[in-house]
Amino acid sequence: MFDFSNLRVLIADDHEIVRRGLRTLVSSRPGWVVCAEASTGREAVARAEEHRPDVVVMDIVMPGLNGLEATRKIRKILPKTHVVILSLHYSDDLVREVLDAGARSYILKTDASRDLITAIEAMAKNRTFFTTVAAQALVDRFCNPRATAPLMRALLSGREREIVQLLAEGNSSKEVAKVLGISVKTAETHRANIMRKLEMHSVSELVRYAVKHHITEA
Amino acid sequence: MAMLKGFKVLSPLLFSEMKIQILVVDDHEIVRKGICRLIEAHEGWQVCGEAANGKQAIEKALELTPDVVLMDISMPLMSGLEATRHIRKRFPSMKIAIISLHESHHVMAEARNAGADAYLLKSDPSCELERTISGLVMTIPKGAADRPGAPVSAEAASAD
Repeated sequence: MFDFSNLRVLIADDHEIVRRGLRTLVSSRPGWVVCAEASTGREAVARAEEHRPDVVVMDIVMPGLNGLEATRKIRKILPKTHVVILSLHYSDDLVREVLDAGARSYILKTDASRDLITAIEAMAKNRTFFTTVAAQALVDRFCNPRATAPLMRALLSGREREIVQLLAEGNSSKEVAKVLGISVKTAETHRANIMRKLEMHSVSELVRYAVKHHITEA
Repeated sequence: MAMLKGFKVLSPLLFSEMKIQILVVDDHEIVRKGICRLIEAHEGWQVCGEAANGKQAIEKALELTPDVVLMDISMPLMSGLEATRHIRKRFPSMKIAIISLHESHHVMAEARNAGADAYLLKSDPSCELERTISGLVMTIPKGAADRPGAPVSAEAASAD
């Protein structure tokens, strides 16, 4: 639970115009303040650590490190910080990934103006908030359980998922190593492990996988 | 004010106070909010209306005759490209800037063929949007003729 009257919010979205809209929305509430903004997942983690917000409004698709991975990291270092995930698209698998990452709120960008304040207020009362179509899907799944694909987290480690994104965005092993502060040899070992685990043989296959699993956008 | 051939003749003082009228079109309200905020921060610009799809964009353009239209591409009911074609046919001088998610030469070419004056990415920084609007505004002739009831200068009125 947190104090409604003094809420500190971090906004993370790679589109400045969206951040501007979100800032307008959040700032319209008395006592709510945008304490920081970020345009990448990595920046979001750094800013969260620095500013310790009550809530992070996190876009899923961001370059370098996506919103789900950033959420995992933030939830680890700041367990009291709540995360609202924003996404352009909906999918059942995405809902599972969102919950698994530690976020308790999932909103479509088309509904952000309508639902964001409600979502933040729900989290203040330790409740979840999901966009209507996601909430219905969760109920359907509960009523009709069926076999589902394993969570991506089960297949790859956190580091490996980060590397999948960087590779899918066109970075070489050398560039991956530089971004992550590891040796080129280590980056290449990770790359080989990823390709083996996912049974892939080319970067284009990896890109398709990354897009399908919302690690990056097309 | 005098009525002259259906046009209002305004004093030069009022002329200088008139702001550039901008129509904002995007199916995401949060994006429209961000764009409106940017425009409102700019003296001399004003959001005259918003639309959430291409069909609404055409209706608003007809109703409000904005100076500039900022148009998203991917929208329900009617795309921004289709709406641009319709608006361009009706208003040859209206400035239309496409704001798209897609960095694609093909899409840019389609936007140009549809009649757009500018093409921006949503990922572009705000300053790029400001620069584009400023550039388009500079090309708007004083007393834009497309707008019925648009102000004309006293000289132009007396020439009739």
